[in-house]
Amino acid sequence: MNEKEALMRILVIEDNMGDFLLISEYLEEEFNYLEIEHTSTCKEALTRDTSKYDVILLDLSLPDRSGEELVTEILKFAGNIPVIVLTGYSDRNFAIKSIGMGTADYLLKDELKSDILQKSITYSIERKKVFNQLEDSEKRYRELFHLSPLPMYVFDKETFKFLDVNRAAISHYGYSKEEFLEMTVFDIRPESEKDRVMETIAQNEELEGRKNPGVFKHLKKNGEQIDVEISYNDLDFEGNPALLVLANDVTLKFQYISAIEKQNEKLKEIAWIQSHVVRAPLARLMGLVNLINMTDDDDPDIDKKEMMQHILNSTDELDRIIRDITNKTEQINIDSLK
Amino acid sequence: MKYDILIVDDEDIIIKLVRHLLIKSGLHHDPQGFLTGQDALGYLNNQKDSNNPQIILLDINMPDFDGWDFLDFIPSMGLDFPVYVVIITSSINKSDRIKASQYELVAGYIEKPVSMKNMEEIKALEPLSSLFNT
Repeated sequence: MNEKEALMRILVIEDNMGDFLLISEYLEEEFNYLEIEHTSTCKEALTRDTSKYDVILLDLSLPDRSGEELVTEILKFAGNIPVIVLTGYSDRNFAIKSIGMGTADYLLKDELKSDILQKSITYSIERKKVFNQLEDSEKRYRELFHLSPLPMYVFDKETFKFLDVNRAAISHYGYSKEEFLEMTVFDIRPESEKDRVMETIAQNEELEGRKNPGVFKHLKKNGEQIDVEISYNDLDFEGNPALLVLANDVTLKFQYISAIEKQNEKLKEIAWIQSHVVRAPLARLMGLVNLINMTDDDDPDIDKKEMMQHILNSTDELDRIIRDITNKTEQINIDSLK
Repeated sequence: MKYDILIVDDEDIIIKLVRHLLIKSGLHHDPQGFLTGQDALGYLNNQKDSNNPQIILLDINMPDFDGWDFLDFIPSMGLDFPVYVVIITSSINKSDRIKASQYELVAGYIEKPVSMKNMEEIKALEPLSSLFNT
């Protein structure tokens, strides 16, 4: 290890000069590159810039503050920097308690030796580093949840009550966070979907990882019904089995798909009309012209007047069909969705 | 003639036209016209005593009972004489042509308008040519 070679910056908060000198001596034995700052009151310590220190050593009884009050104040001030408590035998029980409050370690002054002090400092700094990393990653995950552009929520697997909702869910559904936390997941669904939700959760109970049970109907606060594509994961939320749900609103997507399907239907209809209905009078016309062409003027079988009437009927029919198609084409208007 | 020709089409004028072409081309001197498939089936049912092969020029698009229904029905009638169907349709859909080719009864497929040229084609149809040459 090269902790001896690294620069160690330490703030010692200690009103007893004798104790301070002893601590300084021990520190100098253990660390080659050392910056020690000393304050003898809490008030003075609070004026310092914490970013300049790697660790804070704190005596539990100072002239202006002591005990719980002191620890609370210094911990708040220290932020991410580890605080090691130094105390006498009489304060031992409180020193142990201070660990629960967030101090990194406690050392009994009567048993203090340079190697014990060095070990405590090194451990405290390393442990704090890991702790800070954990806190960072938790914060990142919280942000991932809260800043996600897609509505997400967590609900209790047994009571179905909302435990957390992200900002997108709040703005999408129209309920405030407080309102959400008073509701169950059934309050954002039509009554008819309740059984389906229970069944889905029960069916996927054994499944590991992310579940994608498909599209469900949800209700916004304003009563508007939406189609949402659900995916969810099991999650331990503060000790309770919960589900983390992502609800992607696909209402508009569905409307588009249905509009496109309708459009396809109409296009198919038009194609069918083209080949069957349009072609019938046209083929008849061609046949009639052909017939007139190949018969003699005095053929008793063929009545020219009758032929002419058939030709007229066919052209009228053709005209009507084409108007019909134009009508159908104009019904296709996918832009109206916007 | 040792065979009959039936024309089934819901349009009177088409029957008239095809009849005219059949007579002119010498394929038949008196083809029978029917405005519905049911009428034609009724006629076929009454031909049980005759052994004459029947050639049916069949339209596909007819209201209610269309050409496909007609084709599906014929095998169940237990006719003793041979029946040959030539489809005559205004459809130019490939799918209709493919569907028609799957019927054993179908001997030919003609797209409207019907002309003299089609009459020559009918004469040359493989299953029918023997009828016309005797």
